[in-house]
Amino acid sequence: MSGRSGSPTRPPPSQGDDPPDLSSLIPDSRGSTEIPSTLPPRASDADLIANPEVRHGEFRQVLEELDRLSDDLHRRPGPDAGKTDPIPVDWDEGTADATGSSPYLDERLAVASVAVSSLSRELRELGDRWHGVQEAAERVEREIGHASLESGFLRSAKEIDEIPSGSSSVPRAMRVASPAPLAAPARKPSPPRPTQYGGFTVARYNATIGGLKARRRRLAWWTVLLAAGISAVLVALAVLAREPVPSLWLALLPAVWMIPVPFFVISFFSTQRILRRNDLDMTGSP
Amino acid sequence: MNFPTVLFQITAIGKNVRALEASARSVLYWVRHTPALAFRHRLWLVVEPEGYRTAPNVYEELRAQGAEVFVVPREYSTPLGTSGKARALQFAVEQRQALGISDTSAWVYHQDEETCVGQDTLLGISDFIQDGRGLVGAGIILYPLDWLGSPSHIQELTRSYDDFRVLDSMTMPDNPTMGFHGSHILVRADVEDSVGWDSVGYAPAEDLTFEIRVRARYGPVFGVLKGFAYEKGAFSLRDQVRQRRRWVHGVMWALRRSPELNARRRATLLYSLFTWFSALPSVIVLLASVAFHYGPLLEVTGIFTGFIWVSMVTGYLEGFRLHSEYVQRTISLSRFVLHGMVGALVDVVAPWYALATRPSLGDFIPKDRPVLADEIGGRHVPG
Repeated sequence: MSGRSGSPTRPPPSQGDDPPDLSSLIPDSRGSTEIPSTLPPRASDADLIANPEVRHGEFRQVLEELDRLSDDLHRRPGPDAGKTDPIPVDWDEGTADATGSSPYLDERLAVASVAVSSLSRELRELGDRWHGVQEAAERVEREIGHASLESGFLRSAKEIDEIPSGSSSVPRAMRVASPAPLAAPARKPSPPRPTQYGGFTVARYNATIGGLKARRRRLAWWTVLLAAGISAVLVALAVLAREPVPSLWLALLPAVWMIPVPFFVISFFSTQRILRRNDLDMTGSP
Repeated sequence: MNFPTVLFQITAIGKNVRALEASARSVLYWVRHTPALAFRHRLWLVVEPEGYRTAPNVYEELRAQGAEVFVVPREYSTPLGTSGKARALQFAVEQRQALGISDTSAWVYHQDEETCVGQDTLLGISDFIQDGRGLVGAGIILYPLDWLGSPSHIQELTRSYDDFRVLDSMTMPDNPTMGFHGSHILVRADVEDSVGWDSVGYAPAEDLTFEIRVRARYGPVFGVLKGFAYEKGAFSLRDQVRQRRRWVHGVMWALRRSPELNARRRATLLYSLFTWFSALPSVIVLLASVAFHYGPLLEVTGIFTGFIWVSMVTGYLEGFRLHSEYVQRTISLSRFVLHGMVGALVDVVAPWYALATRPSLGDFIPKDRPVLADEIGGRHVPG
């Protein structure tokens, strides 16, 4: 004997034999999702939906706590542990060996360590799942918003339909389909991946068109003033140069510069006109 | 309640698979994320067999998500025997007729393979149909996708600003400055299918031919489509010049082979072409003026020079401002000016290049930006 004495009611496991059966201590997936009662006070469900950071904060605290516990459990007693941490006087004789350490300590430490690791892993997975739930909640919220807009839109369109055709200035044939509409083919629900086009919104369109419309007059004035200034300088330079008239065939060549003038003048007025007409304004941004 | 159907139709060879996939997905994404749309939607991808073969998995994936893929049979031919994009467009017309959807309740929104839509595009389409603004609508196209600030990309900025001129002209009775698009246009299905896209031989600018026919048959039924479409410019100067060459050939084709073109519109078209052709001689004469001293004549021409210069610079600046909400990449002023000049020179040379070469059916303009392996990640690599 090496000084190890057994207890009559609970024989100690022999060191170096088969490892203990820990399966009953490793939590299953159902149990792992239950939040331990020792966690900080839970926020209400409404708070969690509104403030997912609260739940994330809780998870972080629990994980830190478990990591600390795991570290503590892994720390084995040193050679002089018995001197600094004597065996309690009421220690059961059958559970202690001659050196003063418990025969169950290693086993318990191992089991606890496995359990803590498992719990830690399960909690991390729970955190990931919570993130998915949060995204799903956001999606539901967005879709409910869209559905609300959609139903309001359908109601208003129905009201327009009910107006007698003669009372509307809008041609009904253009507004509402006469024959039965085409049914879209069966779709496999799979949200497309937004890339660059994800940013092409009405808000950006309105900002772009609105900006150009806002500077329309300024643009027109600057064009006229700058054009007049440049032309004046060019004409002045030509006059001051006092050059002799070149031969006729050469002198006519610059007439080619006049060809696009009508095109540019029409373009200038066309652009101004269409910006003034409000044809491009888009209201009712969803 | 009955809503009309908008058929988002992407007609292309189909080899620019990533661009096409993004365009299709932009439709699916924004239809899903835009409430209060007054239409039902369908997504049609009309591609050539060689395009489909490039990445069948991509097409099948899109099909699984709601797109309807039509591969134009190699043996298919139109009554007049047209080729190129017009052939595929005519094939789609016949498909609609066979399905019985060429009526007033269906609209066709035309996209190129790189035409992405946004929330504004869809609401603009919905608004156009509800308001009964016309039978054909066209809007402004921006070019922010994969924008790099290269000379060809800088040059595209001016096209967006020029679209204001295009839209104004298009809505006037005779379209005095010949404005129209081949993409970002909405056409009521019965109108499109009655006019069709068929022509004798290859029509390099099928959109121009279509506009001429619709106007001749239905009159001024064109309206402004609110909302932008989002495309990408050519990646290289070579592609830019080939694209412009096709336009020039298209205008020349329309001048020669469009019996629907009345004398006034023919003159307008001719003037537009002449204006473009005059750009290269203008530059040459400008350089020559230093040597030949055109002093006295400059006293007359100089009056208009300022206006033309300012108008051109305004096109670049306002074009850039239109894109500023969408383009993340910044570019220094010096590079902007330099690239703008290079891009403009390509446009100056393009019509003369077109004159010296023949229309080519095989002009394939790459729109798929080369991507690095880490950008692709775990995704498929087309081809």
